[in-house]
Amino acid sequence: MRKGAAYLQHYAPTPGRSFVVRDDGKIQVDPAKRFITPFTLVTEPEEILVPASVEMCPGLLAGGGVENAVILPIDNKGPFEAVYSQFTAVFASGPDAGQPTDQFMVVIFDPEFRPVLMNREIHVRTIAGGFGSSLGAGFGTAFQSAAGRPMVWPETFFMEPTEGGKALFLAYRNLTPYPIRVKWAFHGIRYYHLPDYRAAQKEKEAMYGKGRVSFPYFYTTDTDVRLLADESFDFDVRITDEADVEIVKMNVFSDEAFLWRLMEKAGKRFLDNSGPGIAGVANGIHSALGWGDAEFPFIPFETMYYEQNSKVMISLVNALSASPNRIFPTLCCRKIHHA
Amino acid sequence: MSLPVYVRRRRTPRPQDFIANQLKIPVGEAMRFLQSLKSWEKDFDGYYINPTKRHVRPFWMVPKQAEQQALTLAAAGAAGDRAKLVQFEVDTTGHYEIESTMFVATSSDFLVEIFDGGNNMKGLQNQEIHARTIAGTARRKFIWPESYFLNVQNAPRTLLMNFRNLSAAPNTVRWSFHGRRWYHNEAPPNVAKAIWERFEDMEKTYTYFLTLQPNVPETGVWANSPAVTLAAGQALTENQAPQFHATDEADTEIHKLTYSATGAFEFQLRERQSGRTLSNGFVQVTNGWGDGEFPFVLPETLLIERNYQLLLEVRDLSGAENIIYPTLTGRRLQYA
Repeated sequence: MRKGAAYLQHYAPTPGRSFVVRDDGKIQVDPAKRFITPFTLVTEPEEILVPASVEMCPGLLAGGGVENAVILPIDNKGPFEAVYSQFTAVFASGPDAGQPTDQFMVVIFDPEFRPVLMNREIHVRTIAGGFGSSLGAGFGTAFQSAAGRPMVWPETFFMEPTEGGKALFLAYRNLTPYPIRVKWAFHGIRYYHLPDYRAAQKEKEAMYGKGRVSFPYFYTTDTDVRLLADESFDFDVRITDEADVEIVKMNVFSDEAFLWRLMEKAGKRFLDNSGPGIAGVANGIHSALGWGDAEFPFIPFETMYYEQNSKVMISLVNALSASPNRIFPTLCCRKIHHA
Repeated sequence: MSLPVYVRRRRTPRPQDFIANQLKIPVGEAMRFLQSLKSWEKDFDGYYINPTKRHVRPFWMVPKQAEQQALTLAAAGAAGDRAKLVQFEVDTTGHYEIESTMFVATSSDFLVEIFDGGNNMKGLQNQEIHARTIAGTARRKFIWPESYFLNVQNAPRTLLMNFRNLSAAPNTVRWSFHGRRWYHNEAPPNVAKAIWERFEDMEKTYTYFLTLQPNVPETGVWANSPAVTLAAGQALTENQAPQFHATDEADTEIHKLTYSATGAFEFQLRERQSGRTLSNGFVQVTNGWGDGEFPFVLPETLLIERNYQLLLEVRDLSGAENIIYPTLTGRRLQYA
C-alpha cells in the first residue's frame, strides 16, 4: 500500500451498481441502472471537413478554420456527463490522403461563442486521445492508438438539455496545407432518470463544499509559440478572481524537445532545482521529463492547487534543437467556482 | 490489492468489550456509544480545501551541477564511460518525497546506482541496476512502490548517483527524480506539525532495487556483471542459476519485475531454501517481466525475508549470446 494520500484525489463518477441488496437480503438488479448508460456524443455530421491552411511565411499560417461551428447536440431525453475525449483525423487529399494526422487545433465554446472550457484553442494532441504515442525514453515502442487510451478529463462536465445545455460547439483549425477530415467523440454518462443526475451533481458538489461548482479547464499559451534555436518564451497562467484552479495533468505537443521551468510568481518559487545553466544561459527540465500527451499525460505526484488571483509562470526554452520549434503546452485543470 | 505483510492482532477482538472494560460501563451502553460514533463518522458538512495542500507542490530533482544535468558518458570501455557521485540536492525550504524516476538519453543502455548521502550512503540497491528497469519518462514514469523521504529539517539532503554507459557510442543522459515538496517552514505551526508527524513514520520504509548477485563466478556467466550472460540456447537451473540475495538488515517486499535483455529467454523463479517455485514451469520473459515504462506488477507482492535467496532459472530462446539485467523493485522496512 502506498503511503500518503490517494494518488489522484479527483472526482470520478460513481459507477452504477448492477445489483442492490434488498431488505430481505436477496439481490436484485439496481432499478436505477436501467436509466444510467454509457453514451458517446459525436458531432453532427459525424465527419467534418476542415479546409487547408496557407503558410504565409515560415511559421505563420492563415486560414484553415472551419466555416461554421461544429455542433454536438444533446436531445431532451436526459442530461449528459462528459468524461473522455477522442478523435480521429485523416488527410482528405494531398500526398498523404487517407493517412492519419494530428495537426489541428480545437476550441470548445458555448452558444454565445465564448470558450467555455479553455482560454483559447488547444492542440488536439493535448486534449484528446486517438493518434497514438511514442513513449519517448529511447526504449519504448511507438504505439498505435486505440479506444483504450482516451483523454480522461481532469473533471467531468455536465450538460443538461433542459437548462440551456442543449449543445456544445467546436471549432477546428487545420495546421497543414491539405484539407483534413475530423471525427470527434465525447464519451460519458447519460442520465435518463433526473433524480440520479441530481444525485451525481450533489456528489460532485460535496467534494468542494456548498455552493461550489467544479468543471474541467484547459490552459494554454495566449499566443502560438514558435521558438528559434536558443529562443525562450515565458507565459503566465493567471488564476482570475472567479475560481480556484487545480492543475492535474500536463500535456504538450511540440516539434522538438525543449527545456522548461515552472515558477510560482508569489514568492518566486520554482518547482525544480535545475537553476541557472552553464554560463548563465537559460536552463530547465527536459520536456520528456515533465510533459506527456493526451494518451499518456504527465500526472504530477501532487496536483497544484492555486487560489484565486495567483499567477504561475511557465518558461520554455528551445535549447535542445537547432530547428524552429512549435510548442503547444496544455495544463489540464479543474476549476472550482464559488457559485 | 495485496495482502498486508504485517498484521496486528487485537487483545480484545470486540470493540464494545474493550470500551466496556475501559470505562467500566455495561456492554449495552458501549454498543450505543459505538453506534453513535458510527453515525458521527458519516456526518459530513462537505469537503473543504485541505490546509496542508497550500504548502505541498510537485517537484523535479535533477543534478545540482548544471553541467551534469545533461551528462555525457564516453562509449563503454573508454575512459569517461562512467560518472561517480553525481549530486542531487534538495535545499532546506521543504522536505522532499520521491515518487518516481524518469530519464531521457541517447541510449537507454546504461547502469545506475543511487545512494542516500544524508543516511550514511545507504544504497537503494544491492548492485548496479539497468536504467531502463527503474525509470520511464513523463508519459510513463516509473512509480516507486514506496516513496522515499528526504528530511531537510536541519540541513540540505543529497542523493548521489553513479552512471556507467553500456552502449558502444557516447551517451548523454538526463535523469530526474519526481516527487513532492512539503514546505513546512512556510506553513502555519499546526500544519508544520502535521507534516512533521507524518514524516516521522515514513523514514522507516524505503524503495529497494534488487538485482542478481554473482554466486557462481566459475561458470563465466558474470562477464557482464551484474547481468547474467547466456550462450545461445544455454540454460541455468537449480544451483547453477543466478540468485537475488536479500541482505540481512531488512525484509524486502517485491512489487514489480522489470528487465532489459539483448534477446528472448524464459524463466522460472525458485526459492532456494524451500525449493518452492513461483510457476509450474518455465515462462516466456514477456509474460512475467516488464520495463521501467510498463513494469510487470505482481498480483500478490512477494516477501523476501532477510538473507533469503531467490533463484532465477533461465533458458535462452534467442539463439545468440543473451545479456540479461533483471530487477526486482520492492520496499523495505528498516528496523530502527
